[in-house]
Amino acid sequence: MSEPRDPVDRWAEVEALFAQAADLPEDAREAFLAGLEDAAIQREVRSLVAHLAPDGAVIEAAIGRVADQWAAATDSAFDAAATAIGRRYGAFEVTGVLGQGGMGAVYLARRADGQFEQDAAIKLVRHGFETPVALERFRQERQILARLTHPSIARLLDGGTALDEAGADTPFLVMEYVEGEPITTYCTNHAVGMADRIALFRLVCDAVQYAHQQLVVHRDIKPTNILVTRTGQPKLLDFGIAKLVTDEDVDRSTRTATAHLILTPDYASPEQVTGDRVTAAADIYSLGVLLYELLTGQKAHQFRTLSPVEIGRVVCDTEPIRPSLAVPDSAPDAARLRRQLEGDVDTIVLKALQKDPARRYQSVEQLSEDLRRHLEGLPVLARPDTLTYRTAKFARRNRWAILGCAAVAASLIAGTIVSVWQARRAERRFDQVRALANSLIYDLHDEIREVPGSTKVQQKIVATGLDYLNRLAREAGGDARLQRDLAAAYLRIADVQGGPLASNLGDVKGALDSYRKARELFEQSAGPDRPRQLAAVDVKIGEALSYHGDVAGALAAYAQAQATLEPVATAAEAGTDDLEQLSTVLQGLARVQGIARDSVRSLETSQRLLALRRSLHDREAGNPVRLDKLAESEAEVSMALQRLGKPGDALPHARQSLAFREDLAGRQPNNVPAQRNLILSYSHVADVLGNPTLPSLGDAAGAIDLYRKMTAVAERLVAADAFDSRAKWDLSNCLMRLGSALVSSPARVEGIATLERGAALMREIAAAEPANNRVRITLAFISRRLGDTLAEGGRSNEAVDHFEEAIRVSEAVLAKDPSEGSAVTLLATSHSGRGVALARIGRYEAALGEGRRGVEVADRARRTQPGNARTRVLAAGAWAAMGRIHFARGSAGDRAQGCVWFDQSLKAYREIQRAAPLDAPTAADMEAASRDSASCR
Amino acid sequence: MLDNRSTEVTHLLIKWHEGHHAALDELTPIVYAELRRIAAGYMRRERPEHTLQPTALINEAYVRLVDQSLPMFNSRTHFFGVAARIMRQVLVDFARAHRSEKRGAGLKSPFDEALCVPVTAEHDLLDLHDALDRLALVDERKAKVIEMRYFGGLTRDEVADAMRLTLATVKRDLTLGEAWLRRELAGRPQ
Repeated sequence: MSEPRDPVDRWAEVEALFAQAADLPEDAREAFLAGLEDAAIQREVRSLVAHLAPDGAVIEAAIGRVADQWAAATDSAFDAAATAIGRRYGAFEVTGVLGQGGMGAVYLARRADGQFEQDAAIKLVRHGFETPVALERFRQERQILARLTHPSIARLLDGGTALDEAGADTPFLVMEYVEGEPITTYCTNHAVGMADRIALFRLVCDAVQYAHQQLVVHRDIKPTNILVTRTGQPKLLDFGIAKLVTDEDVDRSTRTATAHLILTPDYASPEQVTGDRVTAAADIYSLGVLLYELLTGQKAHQFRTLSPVEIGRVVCDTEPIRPSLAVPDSAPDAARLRRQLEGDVDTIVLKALQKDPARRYQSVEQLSEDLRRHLEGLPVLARPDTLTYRTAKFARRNRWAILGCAAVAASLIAGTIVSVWQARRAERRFDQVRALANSLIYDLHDEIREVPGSTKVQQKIVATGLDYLNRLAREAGGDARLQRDLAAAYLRIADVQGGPLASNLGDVKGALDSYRKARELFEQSAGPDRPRQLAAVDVKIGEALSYHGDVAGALAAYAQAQATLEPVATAAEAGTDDLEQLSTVLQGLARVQGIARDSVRSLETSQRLLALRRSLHDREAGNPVRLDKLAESEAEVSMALQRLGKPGDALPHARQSLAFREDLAGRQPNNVPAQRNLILSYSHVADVLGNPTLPSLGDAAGAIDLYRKMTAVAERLVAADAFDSRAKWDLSNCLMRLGSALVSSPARVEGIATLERGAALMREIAAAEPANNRVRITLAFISRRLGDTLAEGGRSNEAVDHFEEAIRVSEAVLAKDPSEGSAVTLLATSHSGRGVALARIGRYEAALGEGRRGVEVADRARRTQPGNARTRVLAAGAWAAMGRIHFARGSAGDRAQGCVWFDQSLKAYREIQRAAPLDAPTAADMEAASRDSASCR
Repeated sequence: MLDNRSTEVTHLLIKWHEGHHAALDELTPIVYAELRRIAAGYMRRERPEHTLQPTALINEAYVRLVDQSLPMFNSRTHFFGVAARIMRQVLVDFARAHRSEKRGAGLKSPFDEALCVPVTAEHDLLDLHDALDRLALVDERKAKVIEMRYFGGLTRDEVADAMRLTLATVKRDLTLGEAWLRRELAGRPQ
């Protein structure tokens, strides 16, 4: 586990561990998973294991449904094809079937009005495909063809709509019927020579250029769409996926279809494969592929498989072999052909085949013109690619393209470094290598770091740069600038490998190794910044370790950072920056100490941080940022004290924090974050005064008073901006807390109304944000709380409905995320609560059903997380509910059964209590179970 | 019984297998047309008890299209490899045409779709298709195994044979690949 591993190895590891887990009996899996050391791998394997299922039913059902519909549509299409023969479309009568493809069907037809003899091809929308999209495309094709009259484009003869057998209007197109061979086949069969091939190709260029002038992009140029007649006239066919360049809306709807309809990706441009914006440049690319094939007899791209990965790799990332090198030895007169292609033709073809549309010929005419110049022995306009061109930076909007191109660019820059490297001794190009390596690490990396899914490429890029810096360092010995570059590069690569604050490869060990290398380099340096740099690396190490669960390691790293910085920060000449850096260290340290449940040290650190922030604040009194930080520190100290069970000590800090924030909010009445902080402060003070779930001073009335103030602020924010869903979210949370406190107070009725208002607001947000589980969980919580309160107040009838909503909403949450623990809790407790409420209104059968569901949910949770105390509390509660339901039914037998449930429940509570003191709500639940079962003893 | 067409298809398969990519261009429309023809008849014979499984279609197309008498050439697995891909494409095109009808609005680019959490919980063929593409990015072989098994209708043994893997590997690939897909279809946030 000590070696840094690349992601491929990690997948292999995930695969192996998953296979082991899958082979285990179900109840042994959890122990196996819990034993996995690496937290990231454990997470990945666990979530895969959670989706194990015995067979492929889900997949088969998805396929089978569509296959069925498809077969039905096909069936009627065949009927339609058979019956189409003899039908009239305009002046033409169908005489045979030419073919069916995509969404259209093409029939052979003959002029039937006796005027003259003429064959035609009739195109119809295929039966079963008369969708709005298909009809729109068809309408567009007609509109496009109507613009195009060119000797090398198959002509539109007629078009309109006809009644089909069902009496519906079917659109049809009548086209010039072209009898010919695909252009490649034609050239082979008729042994067309090189110059004539180019001339023929230029005729095709004319047709495409003409279409472009009419603002039409063909988008599907390939040999089978260019037929050559017996007289040697090429005809461009099938504008079925062509588009008008001005028509952006249609482009949006067809973009995906084009990207996916490619069964033969040979002629597709990179932008078509990636679904990027398709312009006339795509046709230029496809023409380049066609020219390549006409000249060499070979396809420009070779695909090993037709998987999307392979297609993307080849079309977007792989440079085609130069045409002159692609000519196979078996070709007739191969040597002469190669000589003919070498130089200009290679350059022309490769310019048309540039990955970046901007780097291709700017028009088909330019391409055609260059070919003419070549045929006439004039210099061509295209220039061979140069190194500076190729290393030029370019970012494309599209993820795949960026990844592909970044990888290509990285290898090109690396190539450049190699050549400069080789020349360096002679020319002292030390600085040049350094600059290139740094540009790789910084410029290119910065361009792609925000691109989702680019992490692997990022690592490759940074690693390449790092490698060269390292080589330089070995040669250059103690060059201080280089040491700094190297250390910074190690920090970069560590972030990519496993820095917690950016997307990363999850390779914590690798990241830590890199951080440590950076640390070593900083340690060797003697500059005045040394302690600051060392502390910064230690903070990074601490972050990485704590994020991945190594709390002890993280504590050590932060402590080291603190030890390094304290002397600097306490020195007389310490600057504000030094104090700030130390405060960052202390903040991290306090957080990790909190995670380690070391409340005492966490408090000490928070107090030290508070002192530091006081002095920072005093240096610049009146600076709102400093005041805000100070308020935050006061709040943290207060919370740490509360956790230690010292609400009395916590209160002054909480009040101080609130005072600062009232000050800040008063100064910036329109600053929303300041107002939200005020809301938080009110709730902190209220929690210290009287939150029943935390150690508090028991001042429920004082707490309610502050919850009211807090809610008033939230009301103002909503009134200020009715469309701010964040403000609504804040308000409904305030209503929830205020309502929860009120229902346990004499103002119970007001509490119920407050909770109901909170629930209504939450429902509104949930409807607007269907993907937001957080909202749903809160809604379920409020509903259940309402259910509990109403049930306690004897209003079981109403309680039943609220529990039902809580159940429905928790189930929706779990459908999206089965591992959401709080939804499991809400689901189990709501089932149980609903069961008890139903029993109280005499619906015993339904009550038992609900009670059992509560037990099931809790049991399942307990089985999947046996070590988790929360799931045991859940089960104990569900069992007690079963006891209450049986008791409500009241017969002697029922009561006996109820006692068994209560017994089981109380035993569980006692066990939990032995392990750790119960929190207040659990203690209350246990107390209630004990009270309700009093008659059993 | 064997006609010219089956000899042609068989030779195209051999050429394709030997690395002549162009053979696939010629093979695809023939296989596609045959699949459609059989599917059309299938509905008339089998309705309405069964859900059509691609397996049956491809088997029948194979019997009709491929000369199985050539020794030393495992035509069946190669044919199924091609047919699975075509079947998937055909069904995806069909589903896509009908989904755009249902949803009306313009489609997002495949990358938008891959990056967004699905809005509905309904897992249709298109979700499966996209998820399978994403699986191919993580592990191309597993995606291929699943395509052959479910779109091509090959048995595990046949998949093993076609891809030159052991049966145990195919089983493991299916188990992990399917769990991965199910997790993906369950809308795991990325």
